[in-house]
Parts: sequence; C-alpha cells; structure tokens
Amino acid sequence: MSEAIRERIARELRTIAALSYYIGILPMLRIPTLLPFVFSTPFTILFILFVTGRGETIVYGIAGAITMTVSQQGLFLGADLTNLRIEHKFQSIVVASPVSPLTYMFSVATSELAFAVPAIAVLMVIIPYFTSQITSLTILELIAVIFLTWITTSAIGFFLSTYVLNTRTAFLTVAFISIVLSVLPPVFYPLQIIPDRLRWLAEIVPTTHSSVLIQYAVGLPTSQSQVSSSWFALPLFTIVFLSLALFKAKWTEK
Amino acid sequence: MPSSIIDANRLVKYYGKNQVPALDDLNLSVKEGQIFTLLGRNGAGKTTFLRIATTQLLPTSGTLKVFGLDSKEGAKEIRRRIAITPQEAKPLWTLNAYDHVLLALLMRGESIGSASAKAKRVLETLELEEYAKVHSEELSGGLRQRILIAMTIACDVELMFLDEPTIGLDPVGRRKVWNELIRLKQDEGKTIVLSTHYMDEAEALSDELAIIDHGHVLASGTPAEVCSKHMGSKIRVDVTSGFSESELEAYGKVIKFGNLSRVFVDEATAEKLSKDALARKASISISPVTLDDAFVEIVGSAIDEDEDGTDEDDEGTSRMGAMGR
Repeated sequence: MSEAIRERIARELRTIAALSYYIGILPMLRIPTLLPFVFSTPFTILFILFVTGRGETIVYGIAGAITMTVSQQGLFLGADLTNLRIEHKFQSIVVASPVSPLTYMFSVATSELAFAVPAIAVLMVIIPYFTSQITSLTILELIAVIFLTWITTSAIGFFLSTYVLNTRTAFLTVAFISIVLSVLPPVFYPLQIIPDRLRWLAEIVPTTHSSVLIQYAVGLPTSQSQVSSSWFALPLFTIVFLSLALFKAKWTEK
Repeated sequence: MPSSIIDANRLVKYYGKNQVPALDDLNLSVKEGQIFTLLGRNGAGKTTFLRIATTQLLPTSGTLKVFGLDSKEGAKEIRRRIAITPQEAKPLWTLNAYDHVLLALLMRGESIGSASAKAKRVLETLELEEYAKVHSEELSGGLRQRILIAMTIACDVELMFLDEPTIGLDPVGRRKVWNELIRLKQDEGKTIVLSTHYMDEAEALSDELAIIDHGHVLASGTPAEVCSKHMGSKIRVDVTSGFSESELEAYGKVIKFGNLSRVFVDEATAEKLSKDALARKASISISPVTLDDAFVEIVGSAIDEDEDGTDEDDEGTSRMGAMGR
C-alpha cells in the first residue's frame, strides 16, 4: 500500500471518528438520559412478549428487539441528518469541505450505532438466560447480521434525508418506515406464520432476513434453506440500498 | 492585477418548475485576495450564487468557475480549498465552542494536536475563549453566530464564503469579525466572499461588491465606484421639520423614512436648501451619499422598471413592499 493511500485512509478514519464522536457519541455521554429513548420501543415489545408469552416467544422477542434496535437507529440517521441539514445547515458546511457523502453517512451512522450499543449489549447478555445455543460462532453471526442491517437501514435513512424537505416530515417518515421494517414483517415472530402466498411480501423487507438469521443464530427453529436464502438476500439488500445512497442521494442539489 | 478566483458566466438557476429564475444570466468575477460582497434584497439570488460557488447546487445553465475549475466537474478539488458559514445555520446544541471548531478541523483530516492549537487561537481571536466550554444551547444568538464564523476561519482555506455572517451580532461583535476578516485578507491573502444586508458592513469590508436583484447584477465595483456611478456628486440632506414633502420635491428627489425626509441634491442646491432651512429654523443635516443611498437608488430603479412592465416577475410587487421607500 502506497504512502499516499495510507495517508488518505488515515484522514478518512480521522474524519469518521471526529464526526461520529462529536455528532453522536459526545452528546450521548453528555446527556445519557437520552439512551432509554433509543430502546424504549423494542424493549416495550419485548416486555409485552415476556409478560404474555412463554419460552420461544421471549426468544423471538429478543431476536426482534436486536433487529429493531439496529434498524431503528439506521433509520434515525435519516431524521438526524435531515435535522442537521435543515435546522443546523451542517450539511452545507460538510458539502463545502473535502468530506465525501459516503464518509459523512458512515460517520453519522456510526454515531447512531453508538446509541444502540448499550441496548444490544443488554440483549446479548440476556440471550443465554433463554437459550443454550450461544457459541462464539453465534456471536460472530450476530455481529455480521447487525453490521449488514445497520449499513442497509443507514443507507435508507441517508437516502431519505437528502430528499425530505422538513424535519417534521423526516421524523414522521422514519417512524412509519420503522414500523414497516420492524413491526409488520416477521421480526418479532417466525416467518413460517405468514401464509405461503403472502410470504414474498415479507421477503422483500430486508429486516425479515436480519431477523431470520438472528432467530437461527439463537437457536429458534428455522429451515436451512431459509437461512441460506436470507444470507444471500441480506447482503444483496445492503448492496442495493448502499448503491441507492451513493448514486441517487442528493448531495449536490440539482 | 490580481487574477480572478471566481468567474460566473451567464449563470442561470431555476428551482424545480418555478418559472422565475433565482439567477438570471448572472455575470460576476471575484479577484484573488479580495473581500467581495454580495448585496441584494431577500430572494435576490445571493444565497443561490453562494451555494453554486460552494458546489452545493448545480446551475441550470451557464458556468461558474472557482480557482479556474468548473463548479460541477472540479467540485472535489474546490471543496478542499473552501469553507462556508451558511445563512441561518445553528451550532449543535450539546457541543461547546471549542468542540465546534475542533470538529470543523478534524473532519477535514487535521491531526488532533494541530486542530486543538488552531481552535484555541481562533476562539481567542474572536473573543470566544471564555465560552469555549459552554454548550451552545446556553449561548446568545450572537455568540452562536460567532462560533459558526470561527469554524470557517479556523479551516485556514484560500477562499471563505460567509452568508450573512454578522446577522444577530452586537456592534462590538461585528467589529471583531470585521477586523479578523480584514486581517485574514491583508496578512494571509485570503479571499472572502460574503453576503450581507448591512450597507455599513459592505462599505467597511468590501474591496468590490455586486448588487444583485432578480438574479442578475445591477451594479458592481468598489463601494466608491458604485456610489459615484449611481449617485453622481450628489449630497444628501436629511430634513426632520420645517418643510412639506411637496416643498422638498422642488429641490430634488425625496425619500421618506418615517418623520425624516431625505433629499438628494447637488452642492449648489444643498447650499440653497440649507439657507432656506436656516430662514425657517428647520432642522436639517447634510452629509455625503452612502452605499445605502446608492443601493436604494439602484434597486429602487429596478423595481420601477418592473412596475413599468419591463419585467414580468410576479414576485416584483410583493418584494417591493419590503423596500421601505
């Protein structure tokens, strides 16, 4: 690797570290009381399943809460970026600088993920109390799925943020898409419940595949063919939405 | 003779399907090492021009070159050498002044050591050091605005854009910013393009300026050139009592500001008017014309032309309402 490339990578990493630290991590450290808001929805659903369900239902709840926490944070990127663009004009400052749209997206997405880390950590810690399936491989699988889900939903959030015209619309849109991605599809329940003729509807939602893979990783009954199919579909969704964010998001306005 | 750092050639910008162009065949040139000011009423096209020049927006037609590079094709290189304080920007609430300036530098890839030193220096220059550790949400609007300016200045780029930078600043704060901008130009050779509604600011800072209206340049040059070209050798006489408006119109063009009538006259008429005022014990004051007068004259004439039907801009009438003529 040449010196110039090494220097460029170092600069990009410094940029990502600075933006994610100052936009997300530092505010979180300064106002830690914000954290419960991040996982209030997934943990509420988990609580309902815990109170009303038995055995597997709770594990589905945990798997769903992981997917929802990550996807919600990815989508929140859209609302936060809209806020930064419209209310603070921060995107104007960033566009008129050497920071690329991809770097900006990753930076703010990283800061969103930082907010999700405590919630994910709590969920990871409670998994072994409800299933005996946790191995090193499970943890690696979970990390991979979380990573792909985060990139995919962040790309959706970033793409939306460049088109939405005001902050209010952004927050409402994100809330709606969050339901479409995390509540309606089989995120907190098994895919098999959905009748065959309607299953394609679930299959076109990226978080369905995230949840299938997490459900499989924590030992819930999932067919091997469905797992293979989801391992194919989730990265594909990631590539599609990342491409959409890179090539169709409005960085320079027309 | 300094070379041009920005060249706009027949620049046109339409937003969406809007039939009224934000920029309409705009030609403009900014020389290196200058402070260049854009003046114009709200909606005149100043911010649109700045957004195109800072590669945030693409023009509908025409070209805009920055450092000789096309603002679209050369955006990547241009972005490395510019920084902007956008209009009506707000700092991030949970960050303090020091965080903001550090962020502006670190996101451009500066090392933490160098960024920290620069941040401290700029905060000191703009007298923000006592607020360095105060969250921006606890600061006044003027201090917040100074933080945004500090972010741009700290970047140490060749070309800075400041869109209405001193809005909300108190007179002392404004002068701090002015002094720093002048120092940056004189000592470091920076080029600064700013937009403002404050004529005193334009007069105090600008090497050259352009008055824009309806997306095209109505007048440009040094403040003195613009004044003399459009106001000639006129003198302004402010009259607060002793004359009716119709009586004053006999001396020259009259503009009313509340209880004050401003009459633009040549030297001889000013002398006659002052004698007449003395005879009537009327209260008057005489002074040279300012950029403010030239601005009202230039933009006011453009509105008159609109009213005569030379421009079919539907917004012309409503915009005129804000003119206070």
